[in-house]
Amino acid sequence: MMTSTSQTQVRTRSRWPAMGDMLLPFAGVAIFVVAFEAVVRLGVLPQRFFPPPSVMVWALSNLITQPEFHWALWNTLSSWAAALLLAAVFALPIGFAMGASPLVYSALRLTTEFLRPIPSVALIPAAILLIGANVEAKIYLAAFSAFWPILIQTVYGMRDIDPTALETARSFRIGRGDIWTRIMLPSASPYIGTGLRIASAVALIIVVTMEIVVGIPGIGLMIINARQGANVPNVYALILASGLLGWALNTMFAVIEARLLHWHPSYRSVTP
Amino acid sequence: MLRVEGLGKSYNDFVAIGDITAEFAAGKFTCIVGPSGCGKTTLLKCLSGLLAPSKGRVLLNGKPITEPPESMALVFQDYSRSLYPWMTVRENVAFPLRKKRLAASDRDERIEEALASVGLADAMDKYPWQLSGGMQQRTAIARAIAYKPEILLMDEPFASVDAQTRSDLEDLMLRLRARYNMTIVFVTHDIDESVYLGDHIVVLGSRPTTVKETLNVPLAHPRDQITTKSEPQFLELRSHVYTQIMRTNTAQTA
Amino acid sequence: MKFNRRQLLNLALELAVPAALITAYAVWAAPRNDIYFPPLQVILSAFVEDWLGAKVTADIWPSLRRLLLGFFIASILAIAIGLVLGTSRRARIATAPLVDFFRSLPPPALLPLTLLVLGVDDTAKVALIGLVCFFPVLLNTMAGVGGIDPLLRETARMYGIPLRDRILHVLIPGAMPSIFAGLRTSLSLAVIMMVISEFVAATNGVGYSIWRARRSFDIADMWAGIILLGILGILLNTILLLVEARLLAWHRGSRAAASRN
Repeated sequence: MMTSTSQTQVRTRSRWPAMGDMLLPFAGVAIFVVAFEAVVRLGVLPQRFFPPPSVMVWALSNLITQPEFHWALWNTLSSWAAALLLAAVFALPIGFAMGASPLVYSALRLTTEFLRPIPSVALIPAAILLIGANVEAKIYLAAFSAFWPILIQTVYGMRDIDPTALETARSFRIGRGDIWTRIMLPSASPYIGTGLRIASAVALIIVVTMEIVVGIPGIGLMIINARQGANVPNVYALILASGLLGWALNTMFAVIEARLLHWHPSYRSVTP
Repeated sequence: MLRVEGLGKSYNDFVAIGDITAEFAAGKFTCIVGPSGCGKTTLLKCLSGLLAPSKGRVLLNGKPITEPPESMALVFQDYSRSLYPWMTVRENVAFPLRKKRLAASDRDERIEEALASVGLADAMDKYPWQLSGGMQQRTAIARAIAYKPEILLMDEPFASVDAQTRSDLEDLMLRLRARYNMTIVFVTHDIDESVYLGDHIVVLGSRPTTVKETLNVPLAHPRDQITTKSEPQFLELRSHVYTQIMRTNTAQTA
Repeated sequence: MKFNRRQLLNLALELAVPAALITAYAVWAAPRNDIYFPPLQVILSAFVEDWLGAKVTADIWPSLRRLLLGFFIASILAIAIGLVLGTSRRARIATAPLVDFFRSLPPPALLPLTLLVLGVDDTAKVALIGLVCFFPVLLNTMAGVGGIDPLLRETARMYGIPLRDRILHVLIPGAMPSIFAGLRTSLSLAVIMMVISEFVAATNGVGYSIWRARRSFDIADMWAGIILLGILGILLNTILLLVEARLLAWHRGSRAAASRN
């Protein structure tokens, strides 16, 4: 009986669209690209402002061989990584403390609730003034923005630990250190993973913003320069590149999370 | 009158229903009983027009069904998932009536009557998730009744409630049956339930599913959980159906 | 309302830290005469002078108008398209890579583009804000519609619920919790885009006002503007949360009921 029911599910799921489903995303992208190309070529959108996708891809393929692009990419990526690291170094301990101690939680809750929704881009003028229009300002501001999602998720994670798991551990007289490393951290880790993933996206946004608004070296500055040089295909190619970069970083985090957290229910069915 | 002719349903090479021909007499309570996994739910979905059969057809008053017909209502097994959590009990019951364009007083009367008949007159303004499982299933039944269908299909409606609630709901169905003149098709895997409730029983075999037997239940109305269930005729019918189903099971494993 | 001792203690603690931080700044900044960190009274009086006077109509209103126009137009479009794409499983799969790409794109990267194509007027800013708000709402609407229990849709089909009612009373409420998650993301992105587009290319608005204060070294005015943006951020966020709490009361209730079982 068991085998026959599971067969039902497998068979009903693997009806003919299985192969079609795999091709659908490619079809979607292809249709979008072809439609865009056609709309531009037919003159519905002005080519002056909207280069056809083929031209964008051509521009991008030229760009990725240029040292100038590598340098910009390195600038953006290194600032992103430094900001994320800095944010995690501060957010994780504070998050653990807030999660583990009701006293610390009460003391900091209102402050974090107020500081969190403040748009960090509002601090750009202050950052330039106090730190200067340089890479440090970019990193510190991005770290400041990335700090909040990591903190909030860590606190959620710590407060969501199943009390039964803790009580079970205590009943077996498991030591404090082991409770931390074996129960609290693993339980909170899916939340921390989510926090890091959001923080990564936020850090990238602020890094690029600083490059664009303040003119600090990186992909953002390259976009500004391409616009000022009226090199429209390059503007699009660079936007495409920054989208692909964001997508790559997102995917990287998702894959790492799925690998590390394969035991967690919400990841069990994920295939990276 | 509802009738299935040579109905079969398969997914690729997997045959869920082999060949079913059966008739559901107007105004009668017909129970479909069979071993688990024999495609009872699939059959009901074909009957309701939610699922297209691979072969054969479903006829309502001689016309083939391709879409859920106007005159039909269906009560799912999973009450917690078939009620809209963002609507109150009253709104859930009222929702299918919107398209009927009834006068407001007429509509309210219908809703109140349906809810009163399932004993939920006091819970009208609650949300489904504020109710117990049995009360949620009563809401789903009230929704079907207020719709005033000619045919009411029920897919193992009491499978996920506790035993006491279950017998209460069975008696509720008997009362509703006496009060509203509906054709009821009731799917269950509980043999006692099928004999207790039905005028007719359709016994299904295991896959590929066919009709093993169709029988009449000559038990008198009104029925009662204690006296009816201890009548010799009840016991006899029960063991008859049980043997039929066991035979299909042993045939399958052999 | 009655509080017990513990709750009072918690409240006192919660209020103590922000109060201490503000006091610390006041005490620290007052005697320093640092041009970057003016005394608290100076910042506060700049705030009152700037932001409770003529600038409400001259700067706050234009900023809010851009933000709300972009946010609402994009949200309505995204919800409408999301409802259509969300109902079809294949449409969801087919559009997944595109939606994923646009979602991963750091929104400020689009700023030079809108400047290029649409120039520096309000249309460009509204379009930019709208473009950035569109994808989180679209993605969440699609996910929300896809996540509606198939039984609820079958029930609607069974009772022959007309399309209009199905959209209004089944799809939209069912997707609403997810839609609101998207709206929250969008709103914070909208504030970001409003501010930076005003930094870069504007002749009025809160962002413009702060940027000009920095350029002309009116440091107290700059801090006052930053405080105003903070307050606006919190206020908009709170309004959205209140609307959500009102519209989704059923959702919190049903989640709580589900976790009890």
